[in-house]
Amino acid sequence: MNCSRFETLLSDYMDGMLDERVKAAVSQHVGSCPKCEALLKEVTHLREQLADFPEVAVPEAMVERILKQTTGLPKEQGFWQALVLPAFRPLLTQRYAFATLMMFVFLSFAVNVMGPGFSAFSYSRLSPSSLMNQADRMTEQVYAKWREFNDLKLRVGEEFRLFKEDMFGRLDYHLVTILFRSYSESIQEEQRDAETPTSDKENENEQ
Amino acid sequence: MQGVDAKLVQSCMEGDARAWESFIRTYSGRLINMAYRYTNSYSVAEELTQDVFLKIYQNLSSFRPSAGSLQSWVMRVGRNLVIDHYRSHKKEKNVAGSEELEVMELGAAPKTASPFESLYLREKAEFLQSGLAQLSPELKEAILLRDLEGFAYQEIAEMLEIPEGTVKSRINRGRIELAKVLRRMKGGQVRA
Repeated sequence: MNCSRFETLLSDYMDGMLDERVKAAVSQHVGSCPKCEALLKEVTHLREQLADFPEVAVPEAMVERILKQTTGLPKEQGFWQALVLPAFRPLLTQRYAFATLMMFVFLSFAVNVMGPGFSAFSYSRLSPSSLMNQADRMTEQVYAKWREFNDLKLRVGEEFRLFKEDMFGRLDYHLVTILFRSYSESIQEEQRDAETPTSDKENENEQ
Repeated sequence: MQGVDAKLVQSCMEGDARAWESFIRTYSGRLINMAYRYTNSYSVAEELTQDVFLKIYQNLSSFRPSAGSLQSWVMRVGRNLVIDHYRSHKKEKNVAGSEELEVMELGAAPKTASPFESLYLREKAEFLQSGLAQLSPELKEAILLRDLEGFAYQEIAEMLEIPEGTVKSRINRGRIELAKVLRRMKGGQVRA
């Protein structure tokens, strides 16, 4: 065992990874070589210092920046988002999308068929003939509503027409009245002029 | 362990934000410390750690559980990025007295430490950091991963993609070399 060989085996010796024979040889060399003994002490102390090396703390702002640049920060989720939505999320995947759509269409149709009378619902109402009758009834209702609207529209139109006639009639009457009154006044003035004596007219002219 | 690693990565790939946050918090400490040891700069270490996670996030699908542990993979990605940065900024390598140490937040320092103890810790950290900076990159890396980060020989071999024997050899030489450097810095005798 020499100093060069000792340096090669130093770490294994410190880690206890040498077999007994080699370990004994190294121990013997350390005991007899002051330089190697000093080196062993320095490296042992160094390892202790490195093991005790203060660590750098992870800044929380850095973690937040990383999250924002990638998936974003996990938001605080309420009951709906934390429990209800995840339960239904699998239904929105591609695999189950068609089945989910069909279920939705069926449910909406079923609710529509049931109408407001949930208590009167029975499975017989889902038979084809029952569904056709329901469809016919809905069509009649819609048509009746349309007829009612159309009648109302005609009535309103008629009322408006009468109103218009009435208004224009009233306007015509007032216009004629004004014209007649004006004409009457002009006629009366001419009559007064005709009844005035000639001497009075001459005097008026000289003045 | 492979199953747990694979499950975590799979959750992250599926967009599970909580799993990804857990991933970040699990490995950010080791990454930022490794980056700091290499760069001697806290701000640069922070930037590099961010870059590492962004790169990991974009390449989650490339993790292979059969090739090693998730930790080894993460540290390998981090190490490669840090080394690239280190090589491109070699001339700016700080030897001693890094100003960043003065603003560095020491996570291990107890909050009840007296000012004297805090100062002592900082001076010790600066002294060791200066010694490490004088080692060659291969030896420094081996010391960082083994004695500072506490990785096993096999894990280091996986990360650096070198034989385990080479890892042991580098660690051994690195320790001896660092001890000599620190002795010189203290003003002691130089060993022949």
